[in-house]
Amino acid sequence: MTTHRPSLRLRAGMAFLLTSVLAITSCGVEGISGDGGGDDASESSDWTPQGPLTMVAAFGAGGGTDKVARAMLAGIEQCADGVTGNVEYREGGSGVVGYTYFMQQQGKSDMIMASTTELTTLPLFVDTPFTWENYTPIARIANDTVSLVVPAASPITSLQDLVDEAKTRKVTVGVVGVSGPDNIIRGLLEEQAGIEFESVVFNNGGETTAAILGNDVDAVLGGAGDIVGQVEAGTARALAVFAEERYQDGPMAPVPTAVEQGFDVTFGQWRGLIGPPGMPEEAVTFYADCLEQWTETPAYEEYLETSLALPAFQRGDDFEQYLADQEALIREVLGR
Amino acid sequence: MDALDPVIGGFQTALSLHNLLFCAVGVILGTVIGLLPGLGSATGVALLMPLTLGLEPVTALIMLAGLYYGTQYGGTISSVLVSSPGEASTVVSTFDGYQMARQGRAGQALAIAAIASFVAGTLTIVLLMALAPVFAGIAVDFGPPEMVGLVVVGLVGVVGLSRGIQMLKGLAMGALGVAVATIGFDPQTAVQRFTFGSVEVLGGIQFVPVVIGLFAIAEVMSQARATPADPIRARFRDLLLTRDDLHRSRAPIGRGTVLGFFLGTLPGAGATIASFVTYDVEKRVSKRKHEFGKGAIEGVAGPEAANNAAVNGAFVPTLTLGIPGSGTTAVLLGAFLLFGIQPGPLLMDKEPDLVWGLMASFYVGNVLLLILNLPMAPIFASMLRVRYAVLYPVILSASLLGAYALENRMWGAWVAVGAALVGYFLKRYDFPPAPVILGLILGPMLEQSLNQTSSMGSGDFGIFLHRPIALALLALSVAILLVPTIVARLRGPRSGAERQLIDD
Repeated sequence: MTTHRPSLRLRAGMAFLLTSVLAITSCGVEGISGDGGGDDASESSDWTPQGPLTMVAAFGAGGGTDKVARAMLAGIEQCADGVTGNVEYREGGSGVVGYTYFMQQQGKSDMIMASTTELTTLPLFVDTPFTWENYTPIARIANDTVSLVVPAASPITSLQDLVDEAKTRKVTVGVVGVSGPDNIIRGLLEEQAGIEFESVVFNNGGETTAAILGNDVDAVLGGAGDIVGQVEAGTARALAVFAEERYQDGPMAPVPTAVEQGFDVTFGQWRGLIGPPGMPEEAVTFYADCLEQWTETPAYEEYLETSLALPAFQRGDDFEQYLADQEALIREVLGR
Repeated sequence: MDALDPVIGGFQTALSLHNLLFCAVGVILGTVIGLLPGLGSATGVALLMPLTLGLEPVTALIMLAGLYYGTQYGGTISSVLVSSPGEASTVVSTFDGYQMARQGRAGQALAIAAIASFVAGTLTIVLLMALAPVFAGIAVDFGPPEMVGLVVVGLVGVVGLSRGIQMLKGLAMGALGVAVATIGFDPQTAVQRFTFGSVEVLGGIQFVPVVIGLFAIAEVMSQARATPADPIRARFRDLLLTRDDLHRSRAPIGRGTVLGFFLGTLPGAGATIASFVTYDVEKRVSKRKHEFGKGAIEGVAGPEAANNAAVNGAFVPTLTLGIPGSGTTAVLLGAFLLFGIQPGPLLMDKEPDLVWGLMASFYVGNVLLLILNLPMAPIFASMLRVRYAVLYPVILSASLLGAYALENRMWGAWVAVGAALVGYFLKRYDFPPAPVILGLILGPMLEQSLNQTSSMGSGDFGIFLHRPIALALLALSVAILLVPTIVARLRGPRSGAERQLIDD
């Protein structure tokens, strides 16, 4: 009798455990299947979503993706009467979990996703069950710009200086992540200038900024948003932005583009909206129209300003062509 | 007294009725969020940020910061009562805090945690206000090579957690943690490791579900197996701190405050490491080494002081340089931007009212938290009078819900279940689970900083020779490993060898 008691108790414990797991599973399933949407009943051109929208974000609350997701959702909500929505976070696997989940929402018209450069880069680095061509591109709304920064005390004063320096010794360049735009720009720059940097890989922009202030690296390639405070204070010096045009105003405005300095390297982290595979045409048009209208509003200006992003609106075939070009470019740089 | 003007101005801002109210809302919400396993301070701040958009920037930031340090108080409560850490930085409080609770001393554990947090919180605000730029300078000197040194010191701490055969078991568990941490997509090399083609583990094994499984659920399982312990029947009076408790806690709180603040200022290190390192230090200097892990109040007081001091430390690089000192301050920097305030070295010059008001509010918030937590300690502790048949299912569902909520996916709950099964057998065969957590946190940091150091020196580790701080830290870890053995050899069998090290 007594010897049996412990195992009974263990079993009781396990039973609790399993019941709890099952309880959560059923919650989860309910949450996912929700109201299925996607019934394209109306065939008129002025289609509007019925019921609440779901904006999927593959990264957590508070990050850059969350910010653009909320901004775009707010823009879409302004677009027609009674349109509301929520941001749903599907995190994990460097974004793969979110994209995989979104691919399963075949044909739905009330599901949209805030997307960025990882849509094209992820499948090149990781075994993903998807490529960008699985989804329905709706519109690109902005570009986050990458800039090149050196410590304030560095003798390097231009992109050409850095390239010359790299011909004589190993120059260390801090980047965030191997698969991010920073590292792709490093590859493009090396290819153009016929040099090779030693890249030091960090996890986020805060770490690269600390590396600049502590003189741990010769230069940093990173998002302008992370570094602008240092540039303004004169604790770091920006040498180039890798965009088609300079910033219009603010502390980054005097910084020349790489193209101006004779290096044809432009690559940015685009931000935009995609739909699930097979999203009905009228829904795509509705969302793209909404976002196009949104780019005319002060809310859009405010988004660009607080994110230090540059305007870059594209829709339809233009956006698809952009994605195809970007993928080709990355393949070339990475040799994949 | 011109130098004090901004401080006085700051307190005027923080003590306005409006800001006081939102500070209170922040700290109360923080306590609740900290209490719930899986919901950490970073998530809490991120989720509430949009709700504060209608407020004045300073008010919003006061509330969000209040939420941040409120979670450090709240996280302790679930660590102590049910061995389910609500926050990563309160994992350490389960070691002795939970044991104290098992002995009917939950009230004391919670009270000393509140006092330690308060003392550390308020003392380090003075440091933050007076010396932030100085500390920020030191923090920036901590590059990847120095981080390697610091992480090695932390890992060597595993050895300090136990002795003899237990030490070997501890090392094995630390290695297990490091091994588990290698799973997933490696951002350094873009290589997938041990994923077996599964999308779920691409992002690595998250640390929170493992903690929940290993500590909370495994504990419930082994309790369910053991002879049923009686619910704690302490009288209300027995839940109050004694003079001896306070006396024993004084020095640990002091050490925890200093260590926590300093480690907190380093970007990337933070409250969790601070709490582990402080625990290790306390165990080393204590006269009652054998009591550690069995309900030593020093093991609660020191780390609790450290994790709160680290929160203020994390604000040093955040406010003076615009570099986040922790995950949560990174989210807070995002909030600055939402209000159109550009964080960076000029922040204190451009927005003095905001910065000083915010710092003064930390003081106010800590007072509020002490008022809130100290009288509540015995009340929370009374929760343990609830019958286990009722309490355990609640703990289990709260734990699994927390593991799920971390990333909104079932995977987290399954990781917690897996960790619980492992944890159950570890407990049964007397393997310490704490080093697994340490390995899980420190493993990736070691790998990353070692990689970066190697790149910085183009593959030549001679770079360490040019970095005095890194060298000193590496030397320190060697000393930590060897000195106790050498001292013991020299002293022979005579005891009291360690007594020399104490009483500073």
